[in-house]
Amino acid sequence: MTTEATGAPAPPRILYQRPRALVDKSTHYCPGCGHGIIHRLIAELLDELELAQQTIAVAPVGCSVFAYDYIAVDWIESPHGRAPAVATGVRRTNSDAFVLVYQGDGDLAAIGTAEIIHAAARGERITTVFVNNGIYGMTGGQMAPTTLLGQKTTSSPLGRDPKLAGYPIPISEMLALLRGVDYVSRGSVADPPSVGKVKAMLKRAFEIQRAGGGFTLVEVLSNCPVGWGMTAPESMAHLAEVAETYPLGVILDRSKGIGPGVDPGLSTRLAGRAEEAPR
Amino acid sequence: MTTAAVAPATMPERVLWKGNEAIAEAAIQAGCDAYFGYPITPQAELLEWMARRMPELGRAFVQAESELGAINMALGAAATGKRVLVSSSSPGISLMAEAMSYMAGSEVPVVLVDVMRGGPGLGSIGPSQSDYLQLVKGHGHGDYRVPVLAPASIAEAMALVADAFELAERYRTPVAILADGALGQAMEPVVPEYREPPRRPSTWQADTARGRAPRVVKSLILRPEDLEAHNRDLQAKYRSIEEHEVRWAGESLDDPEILVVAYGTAARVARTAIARARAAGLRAGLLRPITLWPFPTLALRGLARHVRAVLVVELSAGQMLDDVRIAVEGLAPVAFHGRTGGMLPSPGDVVTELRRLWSITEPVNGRHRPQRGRRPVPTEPTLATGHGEQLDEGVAAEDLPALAEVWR
Amino acid sequence: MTTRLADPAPRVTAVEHTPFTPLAIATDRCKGCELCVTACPHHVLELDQAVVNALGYHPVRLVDPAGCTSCVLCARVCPDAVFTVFAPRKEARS
Repeated sequence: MTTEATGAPAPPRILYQRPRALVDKSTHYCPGCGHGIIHRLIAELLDELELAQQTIAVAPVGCSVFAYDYIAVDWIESPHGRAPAVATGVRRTNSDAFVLVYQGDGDLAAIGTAEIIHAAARGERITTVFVNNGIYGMTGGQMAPTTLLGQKTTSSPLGRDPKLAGYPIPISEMLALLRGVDYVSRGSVADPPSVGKVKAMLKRAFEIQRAGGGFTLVEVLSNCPVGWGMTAPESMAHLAEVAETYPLGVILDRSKGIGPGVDPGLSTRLAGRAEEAPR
Repeated sequence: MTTAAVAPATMPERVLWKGNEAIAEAAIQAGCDAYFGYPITPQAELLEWMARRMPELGRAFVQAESELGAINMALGAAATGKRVLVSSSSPGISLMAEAMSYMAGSEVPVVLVDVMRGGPGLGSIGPSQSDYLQLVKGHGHGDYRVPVLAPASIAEAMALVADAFELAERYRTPVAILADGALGQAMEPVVPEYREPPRRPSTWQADTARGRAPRVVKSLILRPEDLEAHNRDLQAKYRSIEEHEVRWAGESLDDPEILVVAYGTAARVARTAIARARAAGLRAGLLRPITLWPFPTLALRGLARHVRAVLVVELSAGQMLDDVRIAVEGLAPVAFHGRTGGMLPSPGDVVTELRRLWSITEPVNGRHRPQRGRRPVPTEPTLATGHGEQLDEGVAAEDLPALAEVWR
Repeated sequence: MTTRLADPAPRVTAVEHTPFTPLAIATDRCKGCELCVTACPHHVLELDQAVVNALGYHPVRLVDPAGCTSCVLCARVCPDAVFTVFAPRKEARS
């Protein structure tokens, strides 16, 4: 494309640029950490759906405790694991707001198990981004409830032994059984196509919330290169193994009739609003 | 915002009302936007009242999955600038300590009602003042304070609810109302007087950016220099609260020879005892702290110079006693009389203790003089049952209706 | 690791359009994780071993602008959002 009058080349068309909702600063995350990718996807969607100005987000405790420094919306810090309760308080008193919750696996699947289950059971109109990297990264790489069997961490130095530490928790599948939940899916940031699917899942969840649906959650299998003792590319390749314990795909999309024991006729609220989401 | 005047649930001028319900309605009339709770005796009626009234008014009510859930819901709603009430009783208050610390750190205003029961552990549901140290000394982890208001009657509790919202919002801090099972459960006639404190403009709350710069409500400050600066600001706020918000009530303080210090239900027992003692010629007076923090330290110190002894009466093994000693600074001997586990001291017990103190102390003429050569006044926390002296039987919590006579 | 900061190959540090390059890389933000290097189907990205940025990392650089197809896969996996991707100049080629 050229500008005829001057003959000078027009500025090239931008195919991709840093989203506006992503604060223009460097993150504290380790090189190659999936949190950065997931933050960016959220920011892209806040831009695309024009949600940033009407969002109240709730930050967890863990590596992503500083999420409020990176995504330019109003944030409330939550005690460890209590983010779904904090978000409930926000939701019930701010009916117009888009309520976003960001939690890691220690936060959501260990200390905050009660809060997430009951927020889901109540059908709170909130969207939870659940980042599962199978480890407590912030505190130095200890075992999480989601740590794979046999996985070595600083608190399972011989590998997670189910006799000592039980089994990984498939929290998304558990939540999908609850009537208050309208959408649960699990993606991965392993490679570009997977990242694209995660974005589509997040978009679907965001849109269900905007359409007045119930509880939505997107679990994202992410990496922890430092905690796992791998390079960033190695850790991404390892996510294929993680996905054997935590299968990828849409676990529940109530209005589309996808999910365990879902009767498609149950939910008419979202009929006709559904968009294609990856399976 | 749901601030329009709301028709009270009960219209008669003078009503017989249960404390828990009166507190709940007072909060509603004070403009409470949201209530979060979890069933626990002896405060369950407060939750139940809210369960009916709040949805009826289009306001938020959630029965949470736990006290952790309830207090964090309160955090979320209050961090968006809403006026929020949360209530519980002692074991539930323990669970709420975590979020209270976060709210103190991130300066989120919330009003917490603690209808205390006997402890430790599951204890009993009888009236007790067992949470003084827990709430007055900061409640959760970290270096912070929470204003604590202690009503002694249902009417006062109703007034203090509105005051608590105002304090919370003015100073951006959680505020606690410390009641006990007797106050929560007993019924007494009240003339409801409601007040809705004015709303403050939005300057800090995370209630969606909508054209302004995004805000973060948080307590995490990693740089030691910055956290110390934040803590210094918090402490400056606490000093300001100590300077401006101390509240206490006094009775028969013109010429007391023995000063009784008691709050809440214990103060009502003490009031009756003081009247009886005065009828028998023993001049006693009552200092009743209404704010337990900030404690009426200076008022108490001023009075302590002129009395033979100070007697602390509590429904505990001696918790406020520490603050009384700090205030008195050795200017007078400090004795203690308390019952625990849901038992209440009877006015007769207190009169007996007043007589004993009178008999073993010297008059003070204008100024306090240290007493020499006399047998020491026992100032260690002494449970009533440990005195070895003739005592009235005390009043069991089950006999609460009989208290109406005691409290008149 | 000692890096000799001399004679670095030409690289993009800002939006710079002459000669046309399909990528602008905010090298000051790059943490050298190599996720983009792995993701790039055309193998036109590599870490610039001659440079250490203020964060202490070797930032990524586009070694072969002509080989880049603006497929955006690098941007899709980048945790630090360092890439701006421009549409290829079809007219210039035709």
